[in-house]
Amino acid sequence: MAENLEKIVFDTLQELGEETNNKALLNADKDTSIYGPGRNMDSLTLVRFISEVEEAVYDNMNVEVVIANEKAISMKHSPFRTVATFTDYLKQLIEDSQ
Amino acid sequence: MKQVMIITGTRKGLGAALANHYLDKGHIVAGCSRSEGSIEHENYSHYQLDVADEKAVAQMVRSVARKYGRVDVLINNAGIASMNHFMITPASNVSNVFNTNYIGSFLFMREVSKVMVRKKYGRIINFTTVAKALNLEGETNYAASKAAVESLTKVSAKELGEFGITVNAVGPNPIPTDLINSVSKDKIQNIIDQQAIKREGTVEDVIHVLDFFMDKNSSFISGQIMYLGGINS
Ligand SMILES: NC(=O)c1ccc[n+]([C@@H]2O[C@H](COP(=O)([O-])OP(=O)(O)OC[C@H]3O[C@@H](n4cnc5c(N)ncnc54)[C@H](OP(=O)(O)O)[C@@H]3O)[C@@H](O)[C@H]2O)c1
Repeated sequence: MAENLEKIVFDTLQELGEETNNKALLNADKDTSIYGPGRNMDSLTLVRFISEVEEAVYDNMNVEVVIANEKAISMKHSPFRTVATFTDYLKQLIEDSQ
Repeated sequence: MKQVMIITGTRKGLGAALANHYLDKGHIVAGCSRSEGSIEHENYSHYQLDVADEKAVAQMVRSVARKYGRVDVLINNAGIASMNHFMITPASNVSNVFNTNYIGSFLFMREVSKVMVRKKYGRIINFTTVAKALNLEGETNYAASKAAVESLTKVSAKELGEFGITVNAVGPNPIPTDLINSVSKDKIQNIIDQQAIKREGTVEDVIHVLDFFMDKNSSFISGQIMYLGGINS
């Protein structure tokens, strides 16, 4: 599952990177900042990112997740800091929902 | 052009009339209600759900988006009213009214917006009421829940503007449906007396406002609340 999720996250970053002409997203690796310090997305792109990942998770794994839930918003360390923290968080969400 | 529309609360009342109207015009309509649906039409699909059920709403919107590839219009019509003196209103009643009227509208907007942003196009129309504008006594929770819907309309209009999505609300005056069945004649007359144009409303009056908000050319109209009958807030 972890590999599958990583692919979903990187593919989505790639797509948004192309669309917004954003080099950081196009060349993203695990440590790339999403919405943490030195963020590579504005709030609108983050909203798009979240909804595209939700859709891709559903398409590929047939699991419904709501990424921006109460927990994510109130977490001390935002899960949206880097690609790695986001992927870990997503994995946890999917495990919890199964 | 054929529009893909989601209309909530289509089993009866205004929702059913609106769905039938837009189906007659050749549009595709997906509707919902807590009880079984009442509309049979080749371009209609019904989802039995409570609009406050987060998972069910997400599933419905996804299923519609998958089937048609887009959602052009969302009409958040499902709503319940409650008339009672606020001193004798139980908290459970407050939750019920807010769950359907506010949370239901919120959830549909959130899920549908995710689909609309992909096409950079969308028209969202919420339902408020003149009971909010007139601060009608005996309708604290109903009016307050619709005040919340109005704020949702105005704030989300700002957050969605960049995506080509407009958000507006229509506020009907009394229209004979089950919703106002239990309201006394005197009370209805009292509302009508406060209108600039003194008559009950009709489904056609509502449709006229919806058509205006839905129009492709209404791309510069967002965050607006339009009451019927010449009521102002
Ligand atoms: N009629 C008026 O005078 C008037 C005036 C101002 C504003 N409005 C607004 O217009 C809208 C429609 O009202 P109406 O007069 O058509 O009311 P209505 O005749 O009572 O119909 C309400 C519809 O919404 C559905 N519904 C209610 N709660 C729901 C829930 N939690 N989840 C899913 N569906 C739900 C009902 O079906 P189920 O029972 O099967 O769920 C029904 O189809 C409402 O938002 C109302 O506030 C009406």
